[in-house]
Amino acid sequence: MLLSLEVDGAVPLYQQLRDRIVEAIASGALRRGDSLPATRQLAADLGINMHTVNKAYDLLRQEGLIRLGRRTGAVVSRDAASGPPAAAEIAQWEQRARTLLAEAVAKGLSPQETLRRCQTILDDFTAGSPDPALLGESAS
Amino acid sequence: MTVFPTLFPILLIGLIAWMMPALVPRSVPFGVRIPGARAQEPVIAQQRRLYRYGVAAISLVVASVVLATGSRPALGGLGVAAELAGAVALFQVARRRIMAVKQHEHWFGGLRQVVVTDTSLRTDPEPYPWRWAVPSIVLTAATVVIGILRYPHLPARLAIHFDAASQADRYAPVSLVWAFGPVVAQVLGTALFAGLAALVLRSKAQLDAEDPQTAAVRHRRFVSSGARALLLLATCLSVTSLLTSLTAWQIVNLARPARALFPVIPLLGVVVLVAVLVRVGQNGSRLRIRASRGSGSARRTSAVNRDDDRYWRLGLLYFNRDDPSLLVPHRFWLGWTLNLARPAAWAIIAATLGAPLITALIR
Repeated sequence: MLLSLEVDGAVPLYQQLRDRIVEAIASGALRRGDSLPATRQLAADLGINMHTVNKAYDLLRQEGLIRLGRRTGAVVSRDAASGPPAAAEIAQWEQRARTLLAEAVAKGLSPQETLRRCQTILDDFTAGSPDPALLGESAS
Repeated sequence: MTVFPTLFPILLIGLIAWMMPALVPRSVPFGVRIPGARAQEPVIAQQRRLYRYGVAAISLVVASVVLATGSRPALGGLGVAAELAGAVALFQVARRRIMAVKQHEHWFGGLRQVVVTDTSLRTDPEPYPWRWAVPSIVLTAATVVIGILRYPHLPARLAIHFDAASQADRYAPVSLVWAFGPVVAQVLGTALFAGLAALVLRSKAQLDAEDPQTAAVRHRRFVSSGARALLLLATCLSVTSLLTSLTAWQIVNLARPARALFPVIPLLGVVVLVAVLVRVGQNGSRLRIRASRGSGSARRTSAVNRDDDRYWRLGLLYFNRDDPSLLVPHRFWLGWTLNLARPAAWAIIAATLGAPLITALIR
């Protein structure tokens, strides 16, 4: 899976890292049971601070998307096939979705257009046939 | 013929310095990070030309001075130092000129700067090439075993120096240090190279953000060829160590011309290592990778590599406190360098410089 971060962007690096991994899980580039690189190695490859990677991994762990083991490292523990989330999680997500949709409406995007764009993004995720060359052999 | 050993390194270094601009990725000419679209800027071609004229001129001058004054080894060393200093100075001039134009014209203005990695490089890493490590390990083990078997039968003194007629003219009393010193060095050397190969395989993947998919393939080929070439060099060193020890322990008695070949074997290993890296290019930049592997202009991203010049002091030395990597790919040359912001880097430098010093003091 390719990970790309905007180093001098407005969004904090740990947030970007967390977002990219969530997107990779949604698109199927990462599946349940797949490993993520060790904190130090990922920080080294990206040339960023180890704490940044730690913070992103910790966020993902709190959200129940990955497991952190002393020996196994970070492993994806949930994906689209793992069944629906708990009610509390849906409520939390809805709150953030409300803000995002509010931005679209406030800026004058019509509800139809907003829905159409949401649909396109969703289709991207579900039709996302991950590039086997990028997935490697880790999808077991 | 006598001039050749002095002249050879001067010509070799001249050639390598001359080739340097062609060996590094196009996104870092003379250690300056540029957006890919700027690779054809006239200032780069112009500085490359000036640098090459300069390197050729310095090498010719140094070589002719050495030729004219006969070949005293001390002069050869001085010549090499002068040549290297000249190449570095020319590099700095080219770097400064390109940086000046880059800043003046805001080459990175308005571009999305990113860092990219491919997580599969780590979750599905290149395997350690054990097959390439086995010969040096076996040779080293053989040296140790032969040494242990031979030690009780060694004479009270060993020849350590031979005159022109291959007759021993200096002796040292046999002690553990004399008999096994070189063996310990061989064991440490083998371990060092085996470890280096592992470090190289895990070294920082500096992927080109403008074509990360191809860059990941390049990185894989770069580190796996580098690790193999290092292990081959370790094998060459082990062969020489074994032969040297066998001679010292008087198990084989080789004539002087044969002994003179001992140091040539590791030199061949070095030549192979350089040849492999030249072939592959820094970060695999010289490999031709078929478009069918998922590359090509169609899949190029809109982002550019982050301008990371600030972490490269003088364009040569890497210093980045945030980056936990110890070994990073060189930016101006082939192979790897140390992240000087890591304490471990200074430990390695101290060990490298200190080991010969301590050895000399013990002797």
